Amino acid sequence: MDSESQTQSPLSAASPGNRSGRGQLWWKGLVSLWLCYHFAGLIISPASIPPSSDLVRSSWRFFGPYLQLLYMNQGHHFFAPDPGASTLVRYTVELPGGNTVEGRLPNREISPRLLYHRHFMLTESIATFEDDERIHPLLVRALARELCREHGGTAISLSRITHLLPSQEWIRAGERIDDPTLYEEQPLGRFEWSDFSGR
Amino acid sequence: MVGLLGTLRRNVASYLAGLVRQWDEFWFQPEDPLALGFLRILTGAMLIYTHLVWGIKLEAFLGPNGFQDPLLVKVLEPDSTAWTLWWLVPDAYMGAAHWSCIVVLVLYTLGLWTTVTKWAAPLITISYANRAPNANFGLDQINAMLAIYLALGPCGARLSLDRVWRVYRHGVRSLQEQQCWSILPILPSSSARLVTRLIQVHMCVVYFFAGVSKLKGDAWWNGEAIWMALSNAEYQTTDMTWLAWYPWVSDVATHSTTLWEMTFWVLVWRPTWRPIVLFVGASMHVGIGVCLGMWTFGLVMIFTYVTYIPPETLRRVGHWLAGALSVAAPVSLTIPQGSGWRLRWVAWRKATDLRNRIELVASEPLLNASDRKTLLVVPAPLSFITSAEWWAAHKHSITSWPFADCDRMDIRRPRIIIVHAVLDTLTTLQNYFLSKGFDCRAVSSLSATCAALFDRPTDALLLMSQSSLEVDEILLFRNILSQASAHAPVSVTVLPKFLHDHRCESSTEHLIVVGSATLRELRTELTRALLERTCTEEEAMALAGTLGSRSPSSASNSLGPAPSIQGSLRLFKGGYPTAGSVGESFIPSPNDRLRQ
Repeated sequence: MDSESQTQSPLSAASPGNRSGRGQLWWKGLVSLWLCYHFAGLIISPASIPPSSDLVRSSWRFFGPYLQLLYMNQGHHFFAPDPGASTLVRYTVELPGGNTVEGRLPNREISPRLLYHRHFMLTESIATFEDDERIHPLLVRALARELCREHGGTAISLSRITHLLPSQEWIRAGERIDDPTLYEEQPLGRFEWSDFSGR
Repeated sequence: MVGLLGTLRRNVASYLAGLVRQWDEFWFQPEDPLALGFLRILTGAMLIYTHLVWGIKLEAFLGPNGFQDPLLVKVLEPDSTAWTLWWLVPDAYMGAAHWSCIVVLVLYTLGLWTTVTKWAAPLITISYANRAPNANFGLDQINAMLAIYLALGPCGARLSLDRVWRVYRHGVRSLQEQQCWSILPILPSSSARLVTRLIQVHMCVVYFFAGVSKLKGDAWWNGEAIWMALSNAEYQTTDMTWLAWYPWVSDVATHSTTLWEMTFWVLVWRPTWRPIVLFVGASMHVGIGVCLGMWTFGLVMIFTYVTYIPPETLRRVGHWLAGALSVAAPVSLTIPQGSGWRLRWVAWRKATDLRNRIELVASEPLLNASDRKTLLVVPAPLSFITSAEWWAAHKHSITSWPFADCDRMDIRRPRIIIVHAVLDTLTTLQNYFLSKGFDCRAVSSLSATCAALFDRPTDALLLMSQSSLEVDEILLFRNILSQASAHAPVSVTVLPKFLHDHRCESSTEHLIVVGSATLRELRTELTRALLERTCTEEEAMALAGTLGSRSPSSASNSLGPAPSIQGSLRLFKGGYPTAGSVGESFIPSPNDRLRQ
């Protein structure tokens, strides 16, 4: 064999690893360990959303606090499992003079669009926590208080509206996506401003 | 048995060493922080907008009696490590705190005091998001992710006011001490690479789970999902009900979305697929913006694609933007003597000269007449040539490079320059080429290369690179060489495989070798390029005789007899020779030529 062909490749001889000092090796080693932990956590986070195995759910204990700290405890379930119906809130505020103000949240008048989405996420959370007996009442109460404060009302009534999605056949039959039959209304309660006294 | 175990152990050790090297290259190979500069500006602009919108109804979303009071937030996330600085802000100071945050984000976007503001940006972003958890969506997640990762790297090293300030201070010193302008080099950084990779891999995780989670639902299987999303009146900003008459459109879009999201993490690493994958992704996000009104989310997702764009492309975008932003005509300024405000003013103007339109002229001649003649065609002192910007800025003068007038090759002993950053390797290379009959100089930087080129005529350059920034500079240098003149030195450029993305095509006189190469292969390539330049039979034979005689032990692998050389020359003109048509391994087959 030609002796030249056995010569160490100049490129491999000059690889960064060979140039690294001991400190750099330690630094890279520690960062590498962190990378493994970090990405394991990023994978566990969406994987732990039900349905998930006991193994994945139990491993959340090791990653949850870290991911919550970094605000990286995300599910990445965009429009999944299925795009669903929208949840809105209809409100009627009773003003001191006896008049009333009616409105809906979110409404198309809210601008810019990002602010509209913020309101939309709020009302969507009512559907998300509808079965949670601790969170749901607090959520509705906070919503009522803020809307009542915004309008300077003495009392407010809230109801949840679910806007069902139309099928393609429905549209082809000549109906509209905002047809009244697609809306389902469910009362959330009536609140007096005095209920929020002291706040 | 013992021998077998030994072989197995060596193979395993070699395999593991290869894995470690690839891991090191993937995460820590020093990289130009330009992408982080772009991303900091884009992310900062999005953060400013996002937080300005929070401010429209600050009390409603973040106030103690708003949509999400402290009790609700604490019940939502019991025993959580989620935190927010808003718990520390008294109610009366909410407005002041909010506007302070906006100011910090503006400074961050402009790149001022980034050593501090790059840490403040994620603190602010996470504080707002955790204070109003029920009003968040994907935008806030990606905002926080980008802000956190950017804080880990030198996001203010480029495209920032910090950079302008550093260039200015460095320039003032060089003007005072040497009466000439010196470009402050931007060093490639391992942390820049780390941040780029963090964002890239994080996006792969995001898209993968976005795709996998869709498989849980029926609508993503039966093709109705896109219809369901677009027919949602609360999201819809454009009437898309016409889709009801074309259900196949929804079917195609639904299946394409799932397929694209689930394959992103594989295809985006393939150079051939990457532009397609990113184009489809950008189109999808623009579509979400147009049809569902989620422009902010779509844009911030597209921003992350900056990390997938090659540095050279980003550099071209930067030069184009600099040209678009700078309308100043070329101007010549005299460098004042001393250290007064006039000198600082000149330095400031030069530091903010995006297009390199300002030429600085020394108030007193620094050089004699012959040197000044040289400087007429190369407007900056060679010792200060350190960055790619310089090369890009002076491409127009390539036709008058000094070495354009150099003599024809010295066929008795070809003069070559070897460029490599590592001294040990450089010494090995130099010793080897000297032993093979080359008149060899070894230098460790491009500025030294230029100095050597000016010093005497040179026949060939062997350019070797390791880091991505070095690659960009070396490729620019090589391109200038290849366009300069028929008498410019030929070159062989060696690029690491993982950095080669086909930005440069190899030519017969300016070869590119990708991946690892032995010393013999390097010599073969260099000699091949030199032979391409020697046009006469006499020159070729003389070259063969000179180089071949220095290597008697490998004569059969060297240049071989004259007829073969003539054959090789003839065949070179028409393409690669076929196996056996010319002298053995002197001209390898195309498959052997580059060791991938």
